[in-house]
Formats: sequence, structure tokens, C-alpha cells
Amino acid sequence: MDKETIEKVANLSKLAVEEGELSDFKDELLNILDYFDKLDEANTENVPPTSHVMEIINKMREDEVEKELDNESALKNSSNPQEGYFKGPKVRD
Amino acid sequence: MNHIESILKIKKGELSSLEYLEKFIDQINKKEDEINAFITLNEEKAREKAKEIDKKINNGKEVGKLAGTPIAIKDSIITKNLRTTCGSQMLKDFSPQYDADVIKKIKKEDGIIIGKTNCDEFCMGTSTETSYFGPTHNPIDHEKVPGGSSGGSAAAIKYGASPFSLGSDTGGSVRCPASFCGTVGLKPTYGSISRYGLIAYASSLDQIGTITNTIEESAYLFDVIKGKTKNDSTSLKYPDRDVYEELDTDISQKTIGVPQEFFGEGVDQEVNEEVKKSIKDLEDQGAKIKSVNIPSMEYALAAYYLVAIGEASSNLARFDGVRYGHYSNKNKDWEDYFSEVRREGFGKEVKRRIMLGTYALSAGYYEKYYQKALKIRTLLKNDFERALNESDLLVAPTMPFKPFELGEKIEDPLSLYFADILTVPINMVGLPALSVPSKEEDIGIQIIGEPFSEGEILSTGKIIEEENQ
Repeated sequence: MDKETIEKVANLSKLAVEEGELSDFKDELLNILDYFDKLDEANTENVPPTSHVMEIINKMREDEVEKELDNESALKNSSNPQEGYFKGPKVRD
Repeated sequence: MNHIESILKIKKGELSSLEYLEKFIDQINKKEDEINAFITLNEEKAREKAKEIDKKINNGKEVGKLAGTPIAIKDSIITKNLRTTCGSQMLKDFSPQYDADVIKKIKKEDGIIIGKTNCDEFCMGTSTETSYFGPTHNPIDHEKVPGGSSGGSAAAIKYGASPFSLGSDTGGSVRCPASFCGTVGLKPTYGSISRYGLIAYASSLDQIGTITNTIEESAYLFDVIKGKTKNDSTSLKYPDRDVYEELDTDISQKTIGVPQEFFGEGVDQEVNEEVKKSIKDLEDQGAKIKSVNIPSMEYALAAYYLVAIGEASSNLARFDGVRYGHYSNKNKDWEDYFSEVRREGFGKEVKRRIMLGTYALSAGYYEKYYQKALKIRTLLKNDFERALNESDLLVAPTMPFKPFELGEKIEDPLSLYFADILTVPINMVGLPALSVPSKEEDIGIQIIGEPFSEGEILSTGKIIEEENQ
């Protein structure tokens, strides 16, 4: 993991990392990744992955309209609501 | 004093709910400054609610199972119109628009929310030191950590700020602070309690649990909050019975499995000895003791962290500074805006886990890390199934060591991850587990059972509790 990889991961994570933080992060992450390499030793040939332990198959329900948050309440925690909408940052100039 | 008796007294009109609440508020006023168990206190609204309940009782009306008893809620569980931060600057001013399913259930049974308890930021930690709101101190020894991430809930129970509390447990976050603070912590079967309104860390591992002083209180509270709801599609129908009514201290027909890997390298001798004393007590009460093995245990910690951070990197993508949470006034394009808001709003450990999770899930690494971890999860599941076929339940230490000093491990993330070595395997396999104090107050004994065996593990915990009184 080099400086470039860290920058790429930070960008994918949408986390601005300052120049000074980069090397700290690099050392810490490398240290942890080293430990994760322990898994290479485990024999998992023919072992299927488990992503959910309780063996639930897709659960469906009727798609019915229910009373949820009203507009005012939904916008209550927004930094910048406008005319009943969330206003996001600009997407292009 | 057992707080269930107080509930019964309130119901009969022998004790007023307000009077009862004031005793806890007094304790908070005396000690909260030293302990820092709460992020937000709710005293005034709690008083109003207590008066309402007293009025109901005086008018001869029925009240719910929690009948005006206070309850402290970990700040990872959202509460309508009561600030919920999850220990993060990102949610410093967040006021939820609705209640979590567990909060609805508590309110329906006339429980009173006394405050929101401190926790590691987004529940990522083992010591409550990563909270934006400062660390919580262990009431047993103020220089020590209370454990984490639900450190505030366990400390609040220990110092008498509340009779009941809720925490959440992704890799031990209920059991660890319960163990460090000499309290009882129950992480129930995955799916037995709705996660709707629990701020997501790692959804396939997260589970709400209880922290109380006694086993009976734990069972009582669990009965109130358990069961399937329509808002959490992973929640499961709980067998139709009250766990509290199932508590039974006859263990003579039981076989206790002792998983050897839980007593191995990295576990302090003192901890091993304490846990073995309690196993001996169970044997003296007629239980059969059997040695069992979890061979894939050595990979559990690495596999757990990969699953947890992978899910976290995805779950925490929702914090964008637009709909709620920390925001910036700078006029930037979306990419810089999100990156800046997240840089400011998240603390170091959260950033570390998001970056690691993103890396582990990225093209070229997915198979080496995440996929491999899911295969280890299968091995663990098989190992625990085998061990629980050979025995009725497992008894082991909760934490590999006693509480450490505040500041001792926080600069070395990996050493802190190692503290979770005995609790994370249980979340990987979704089983219920309990931590109950041993004869040494700050050493917890972990009891693990089959899915939906909360009654059985709590009953076994009760024997240990009675032996140690």
C-alpha cells in the first residue's frame, strides 16, 4: 500500500485526507492489513461463504402506501432545505 | 435492591414513579461529572412522564410492564425529538424524527427514558474512548476504561444512574462493558430484537442488548423488547414465551462445554482462573463439564474485522452533510463537499475503518479479504454447531483481561482490536451470549447458547450470580 493507493482509497471513501495525515494512516492501515494476512493460512477450499447466519430467504411484503414522515419533519435536520426539498452541493459548473 | 420489585411497588401505588426517578437523578447529580456516562440527559421530560404515570395509577388505570421505571439508552439507538449522536461530531445536533422499534416498545410499556449514554463513535471501539464527547470512566476505578462500545450504559448501571439500560453489540459492545463494569450484559440471538432505528455499523452482526445489575432484570427487559417487527426484515419471530418466566436454576441435566481456544494465548491467567472457579461451581451443582473445540477460532478476529469494516464502509456512506448531520457552508462541488464534510465530521478510528473497509472491498482485493472472511464465517458456524451438539451451552471468559487504564491502548488500534478476541466469534455466528460477573467484579463470564436459548443462558448465569453473592 503506497501513498497513491491511500489517496485512491480516501477518494473512494469520500474522505479528504490532508498531506500530513497520509503517512500516519499508511502505517496504521499497513499494520492492520498485515494482521489480516493471517487469513491466507486458513484452508477454505470448497467452503461456501456465509453472509447471513440465520438462513432467511428474501422476505417480501405488499408494496402499500403508509403514512410516514411529512415534508416538514423530513427536512427538519437538513442544513439547507429549499422550497420543500433538500438542496445538495452542485454537481457541475 | 432488585428493580423489578420497585416496578411492582409502583404498579400497586406503594412507590411513586416520580419519587423513584428522583433517586436516580440525585445519583446523576452526585456522580455524573466524574463518570461521564451520558451524552444527553432527559431529566425534565422524564419527570413529566413520571407524573403522568403516577396520575394514571392513582386513577386506577392499567400501566405497562415497565410502569414508570427509568431506562438509559445507548446513543446508537434513535429516540424521537431527543438528540441522538452515536458518539460522533457527525450527529452532534441530530434530532430524530421517529423512535427505534425498541423505543416504541419501551414507551408502550411505560418505561421512561432518563438519558442517552456515551459510546465509542459509531460504536467503533472497545473502551468508549473514541467518543467525540470524551471518555467514560469506569465506576469501579475511575482511572480505568469502562469497556466499550456501550461503556456509558454499563457505567450508568454501575453507579446507580438508572435501573435498566440498552446497549448494542456488533462484536462485543454489550458484553465487554458489562464485564469491565461488573454488570450483566445480554447479547441476544441475531434477529431476536428489531434493529430498526439502531444506527447501522455492520448490519449482519449488529444486535441490541440489555445491560442491568442482575440476571432477572436482564430477562425482564429482554421480554419487553424482543420479537419480530415489520420494519426490520431480518428480525425473527421469537418463540411464544417469556424468558423471565423460564429462569430455572436446576442445572443437573445440563452439559457445559468449555471451549479450549477461549482459554489460550492472550488470555490472562487471572481471568482463566476466575472463570474456572465458576465452572467448578456449576459442576458442584450437578452439571456435566465437557471440553470442546472451536478450531477456526484463530481466524475469527481477522475475519470479524473484515466483515465489520466492509459493512461499515457501505453503511456510513449515508453521511453526506445534506439530509442530516454535520454540514459545511462552503460552496464546493459534490465530491469535495462530501469529502470535506466527512473529513470534519468523522473521528480517526471511524475514518480508519471506512478506509480499510473500502480497500478490502475494492476490485482486486475482494476475494483475498472479504470473500475469505465470509468463508471463515462458515467454518466458525460449523465449529459452534458441533460444539453445541456435544454440549448444551458454552462457558468461557468474556474479555481476555481486566479493564485497562484510560489512554493505555488508544494509540495502538491493533492492540485494542485484540481485546475483542473472545466476543467477536459469537456475532459472526449469531448466537446469544451473556456476560455475568465472576467473584472478581471486573472479570466477566461469558455464557453462549443455541439460537433462542436466552432463557437457558440466563438461568445458568443466575446460578453463577447466586454463588457469587
